Amino acid sequence: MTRHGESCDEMQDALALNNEDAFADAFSQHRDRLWRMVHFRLDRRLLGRVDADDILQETYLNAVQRLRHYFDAQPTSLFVWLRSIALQTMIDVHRRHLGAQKRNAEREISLHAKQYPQATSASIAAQLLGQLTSPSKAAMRAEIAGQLEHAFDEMDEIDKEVLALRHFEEMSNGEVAEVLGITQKAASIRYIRALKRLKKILAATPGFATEELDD
Amino acid sequence: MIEQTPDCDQVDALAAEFVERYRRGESPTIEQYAAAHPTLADEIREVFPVVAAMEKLKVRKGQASDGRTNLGASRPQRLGDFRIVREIGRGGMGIVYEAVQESLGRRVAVKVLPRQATLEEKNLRRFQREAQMAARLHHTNIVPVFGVGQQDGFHYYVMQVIPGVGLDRVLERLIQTGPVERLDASVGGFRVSTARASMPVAETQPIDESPPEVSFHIETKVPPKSHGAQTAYWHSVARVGLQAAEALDYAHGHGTIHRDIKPANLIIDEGNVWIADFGLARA
Repeated sequence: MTRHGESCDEMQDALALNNEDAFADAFSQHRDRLWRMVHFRLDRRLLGRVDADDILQETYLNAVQRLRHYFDAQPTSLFVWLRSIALQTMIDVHRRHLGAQKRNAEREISLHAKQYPQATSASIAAQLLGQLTSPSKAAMRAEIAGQLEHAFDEMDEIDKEVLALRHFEEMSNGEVAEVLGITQKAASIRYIRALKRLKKILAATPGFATEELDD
Repeated sequence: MIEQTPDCDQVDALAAEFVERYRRGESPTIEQYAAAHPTLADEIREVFPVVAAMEKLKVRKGQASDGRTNLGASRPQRLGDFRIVREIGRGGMGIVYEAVQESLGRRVAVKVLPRQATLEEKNLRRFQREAQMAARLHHTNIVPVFGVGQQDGFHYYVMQVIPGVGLDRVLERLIQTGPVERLDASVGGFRVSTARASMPVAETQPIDESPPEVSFHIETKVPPKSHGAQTAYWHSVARVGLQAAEALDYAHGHGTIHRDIKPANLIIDEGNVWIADFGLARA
């Protein structure tokens, strides 16, 4: 059904044999999207100390150790399981590096019964501003970032999350529904609503209206 | 509170398809979708521009903050006939790998472009056209281009391996350490000799063995009292300049403009210069 679902049964058979080569293949199929997830959610304060590739390396090792648990229970699709391990690994790394400091600026909320570094207004704004780097635009950057963040603060938290999952993590609607524990129908409705809201936000933000929405 | 919009999942499914095509490098237009689905046209015209904007604006893999290329997690293991051995350099335009062309049993250099550089179809056509032009150049001071290819969204460019060092590295070293007698190829971590040990090559197909330790001779020592050494230094600088100019003249005569001549694209090998990256400057 999805582009990532191909030969799933075959792969799971191979995996069931606890063949690490087969697991390595399966992992590499999901690596791009896991990378995006970590890149998007990694605490900005860790930049320069830890990068997404470091986290993925640890994620791989953690996943290999817990592979048996996955096959005993198989509660989710392989991608969603790997993603949850990547998230947990990232949270551990945050704690290790930021320690008590992290607790003060705690952004994690409990979502789908997991500790979860959520899409924040600031992280979405940072993604959208990533391309505005020319010198003339750089001057406006801080101001625009502030406006965008403020606008995103007004959005429903889960709508924001859906937007991030669909675009920054490149998930299908089905995967979004699985990760958030909502129906596919509800996930679709939230997505379309978030897009309409985002359109208003971007249209009201200088630098976006003319260049990015019109062609 | 979620207000019911009856056609949300239809619009969503179309938007997902639109995004999927965009990510594959196609250029779907919003009007195509609006025309094909008249009952949903209003919704499509409202929502799709934002969908496209999200894809255009988001930070993509391959955009490292320092402007250097980063293919992120998706380093290729193999591109068609070419088995990737190791990374030998990276710049703004792509990452260069040493690879083995298995059908011919030869070592080559493969330059892999970052995915977003090849996203637009018209850029892609230009890249292919310019690579064809570059492949027609035969000159002792131009790195030969063997071909271009694409796999899994990676576009790549295959060149002869030149066992040398970029002039940028040479200059860097000169600035850091001052004149030294002779720079060898291990400058800046670029160790040609280590390739031997780390490169298992298809056993049945012999690879021509180049000397394990390659050095290039720009006479860089300018001792105050040695007139001869000073002359040799200036001669070698002049030779590099002359060779580069002749190679560019030859290329211009064949209708090819490099557009990005800089120290990093001038490879110094045994005191001679090779110009690299013809056809890539505007890809």
